[in-house]
Amino acid sequence: MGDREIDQQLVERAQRGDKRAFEMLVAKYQRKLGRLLSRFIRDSAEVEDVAQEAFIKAYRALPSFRGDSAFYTWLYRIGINTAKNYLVAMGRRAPTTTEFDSEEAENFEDGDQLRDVNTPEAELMSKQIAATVNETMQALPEELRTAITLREIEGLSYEDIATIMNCPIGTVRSRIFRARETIAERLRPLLGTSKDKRW
Amino acid sequence: MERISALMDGELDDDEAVQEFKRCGGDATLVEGWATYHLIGDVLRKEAPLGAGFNERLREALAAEPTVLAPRPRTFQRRARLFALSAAASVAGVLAVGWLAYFNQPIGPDSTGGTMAGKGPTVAEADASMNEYLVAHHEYADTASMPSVTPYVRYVNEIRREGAMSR
Repeated sequence: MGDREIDQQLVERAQRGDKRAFEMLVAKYQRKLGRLLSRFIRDSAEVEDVAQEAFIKAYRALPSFRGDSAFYTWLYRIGINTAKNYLVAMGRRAPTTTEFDSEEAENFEDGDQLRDVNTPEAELMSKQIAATVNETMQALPEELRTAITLREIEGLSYEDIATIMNCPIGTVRSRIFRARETIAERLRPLLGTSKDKRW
Repeated sequence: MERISALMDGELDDDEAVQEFKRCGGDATLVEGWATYHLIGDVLRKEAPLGAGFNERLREALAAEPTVLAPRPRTFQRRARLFALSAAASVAGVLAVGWLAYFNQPIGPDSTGGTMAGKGPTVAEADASMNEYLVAHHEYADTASMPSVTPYVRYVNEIRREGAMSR
């Protein structure tokens, strides 16, 4: 099942009343949406407010989502409109439609730099998370580090990774899982296991 | 949890993925794993996490929202309508056949359907002048469509009775 089908499944489950399915979409897209909004809202607290409002609007509008476009394309438009309305309400200049054409939504990239969208306290947390992920990555056995790098950064399929690493697909799947789980174990104390402070 | 990892990479087949989503609906740790794995991927791709408390606030806001219950897709409605129409047509067909079979069943002197006796004219009570014609042509009628010989017997009995009375 591909990425778009996964989103569609989650949307359909949310449309049938499963809020947890919508939370999974939030977990998947919140940072991408936050990065988009931070292109024209500089204040990190405002970015979070607008992101939250956009997700709530998206949730309310779920019955109208028919899957004609990818979920993120749809969410992107809601995010842009929410940001425009916010900026107009604050008496600031809203972006024009050409500045954020929805056609670029699915391939939206904004450079490689970790953009600072956080308050000092949250920024510290972000740095701790990034440091923990990077340190754990460096400490991983090479085969795990290579597998998760090829998947997460290069975006390769398990089949392609298996070819490159000359191993069965099942081994790739296991290595990527072990790499993620090792990093997640280190992150959980930071995130809080009972009540996540962030996803 | 390994299946969650494979699911987010799009490496489960459709049935496995649907099963995994069902499991997520009843297991918060799977959703937490999904969220943490996505966070790891985003950090590796240099995506900045949103501030602490964002998810908590969003969850609270979502919890305050009325649960969305979207109508089924139109394709489902169209299929349901087609099914209802075909079912109605089938029922109507069965009723029509039943109706015809019920009111066309032969009523003879030995019939057990006593309650039917007084319900309107029967074939036997039809114009007696038609009997000879009917008997003459009944032999050529399509017996496959009405295999019963009872009407033929009834017509013959009727003619005999009329003959006896005239004598």
